Amino acid sequence: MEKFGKSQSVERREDDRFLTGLGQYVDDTTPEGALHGYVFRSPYAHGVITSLDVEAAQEAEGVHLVLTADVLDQAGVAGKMEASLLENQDGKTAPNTDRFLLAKDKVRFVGEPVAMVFAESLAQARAAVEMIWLEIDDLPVHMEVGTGGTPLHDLAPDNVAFDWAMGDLAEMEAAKSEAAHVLSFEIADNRIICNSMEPRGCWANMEEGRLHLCVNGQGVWAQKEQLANMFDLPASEIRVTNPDVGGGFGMKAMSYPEYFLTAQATRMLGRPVRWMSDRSEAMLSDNAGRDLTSTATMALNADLKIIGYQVQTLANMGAYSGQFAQPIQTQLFSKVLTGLYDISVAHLQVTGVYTNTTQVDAYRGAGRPEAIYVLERAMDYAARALNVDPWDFRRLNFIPC
Amino acid sequence: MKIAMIVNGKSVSREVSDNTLLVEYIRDHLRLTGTHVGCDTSQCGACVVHVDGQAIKSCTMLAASAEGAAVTTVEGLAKSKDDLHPMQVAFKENHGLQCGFCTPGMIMTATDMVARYQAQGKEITEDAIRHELEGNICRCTGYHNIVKSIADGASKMTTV
Ligand code: FES
Ligand code: FES
Repeated sequence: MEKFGKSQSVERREDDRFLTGLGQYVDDTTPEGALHGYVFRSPYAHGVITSLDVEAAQEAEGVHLVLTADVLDQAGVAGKMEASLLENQDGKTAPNTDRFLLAKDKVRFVGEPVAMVFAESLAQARAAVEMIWLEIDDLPVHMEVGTGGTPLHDLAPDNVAFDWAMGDLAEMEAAKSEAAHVLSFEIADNRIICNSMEPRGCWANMEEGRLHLCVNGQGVWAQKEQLANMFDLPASEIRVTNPDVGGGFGMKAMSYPEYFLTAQATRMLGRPVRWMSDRSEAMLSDNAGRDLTSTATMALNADLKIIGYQVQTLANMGAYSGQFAQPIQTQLFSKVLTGLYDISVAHLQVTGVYTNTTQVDAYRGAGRPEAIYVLERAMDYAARALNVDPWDFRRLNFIPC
Repeated sequence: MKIAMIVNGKSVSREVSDNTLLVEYIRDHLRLTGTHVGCDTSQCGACVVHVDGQAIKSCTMLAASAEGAAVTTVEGLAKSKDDLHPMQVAFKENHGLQCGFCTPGMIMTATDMVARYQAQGKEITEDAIRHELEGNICRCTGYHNIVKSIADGASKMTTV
């Protein structure tokens, strides 16, 4: 059919390759002869490590290297992952809790990497992982999205990762006291697992003295900088590439322990090394999304105009603060806090909490869909409570144009 | 052990361990990487190939079980780079793919489904397509355009 005018669809350049099986996803580009990495993950949600025995794994057939926190230490790799930290309400920076590439002293969630084996074949790497023996002293687990419980981190005694706020609380309180109606609603936004069809993966190789990390990520620069910091290398000695990626959804934007470990293995062994997550591992180790409970409070005048809007949120960080986790339900959430409505007084307070679960980080829109979800649910609930049509209620409160 | 089969019309033979899966044989030994692995639970369908004319999940079959069989992977579907299979064209024209990771499995499932329905003289309704896709998961598209693509591809495919 002849098409006329602007806005005609543009054909995708990549489709011919994808349709004929010539896509180049990360594991399609693994260098010949690469060793296979496989991760030993904590089967326990919370505990103090009393012993980690990797001797049998080291001696198993085909095994070239077993990385543990101790081995990294000896290699001079500090192993602490980077996280963006917020400024708390009291002006102090949120506690800089540790997240190591491989568990040191404690395990804090089921699926946490404890050791990584590199072997000739994947089957050998898996078999060797079966020979690893981890013993822990159990600690009570903290699963509830709330403060308190057995602390995961010494620096966060109440399991409070951060306490962040924006807006003028006094003005908000004044709006509430002037209001004809004050309505409060609790709105839960459950945790999701991202589940990109292509799981996470990477390979690393030393190329003319330069470290090359090929990872199915969503950009290369942050990754490169983090590798440089982790290994204390000049950035010029590192090359990071992204091949075709089988779905990212924000989940693949962040760095993960396995990428550093794979890179470290290639540095120690001087040969290519690859790691692909399987689906079960993805469920345990990929950054999760959402997982917050908000209480939205609306102050309305007698004409049902919103004169104040307040949100208090408990945001689950999981066991660790991920690379960009803290700014999501706070700064990013705040960008669209009041949506399309004419609301002049607003206040947002968020408490980030640590729990014995997989870390939570960016996922599809990161913070902004969550804010809109809370707001629009609250609009519906309020309309129902006030016995007015939800559309009329919205029209009444839209920013006029 | 030595395992031989015909893949995309060519006889191949490789020395592999006896527990090698068909998908490993295809990806790691033949280096035909169009067939993908998206799970370890036989659920996603990214690994679908045809074995003796039937769609199967290659992650769920031992290479040894395909000894002597005729296997078609997504690489074997187009006559040439410029002469794509009608189902491939339909996916392209209907935006039936985004990241493309599920796509090889989708296309192999689709061509099998159409061939079966046409052989039985049955109409491929939208409902039938959706039902037939129960073993293939896509995380990007929301399926609507995949279903459209398959219906379009079916109208252009003549297998009988
Ligand atoms: S890899 Fe075969 S069904 Fe998922
Ligand atoms: S197109 Fe990405 S999973 Fe289907």
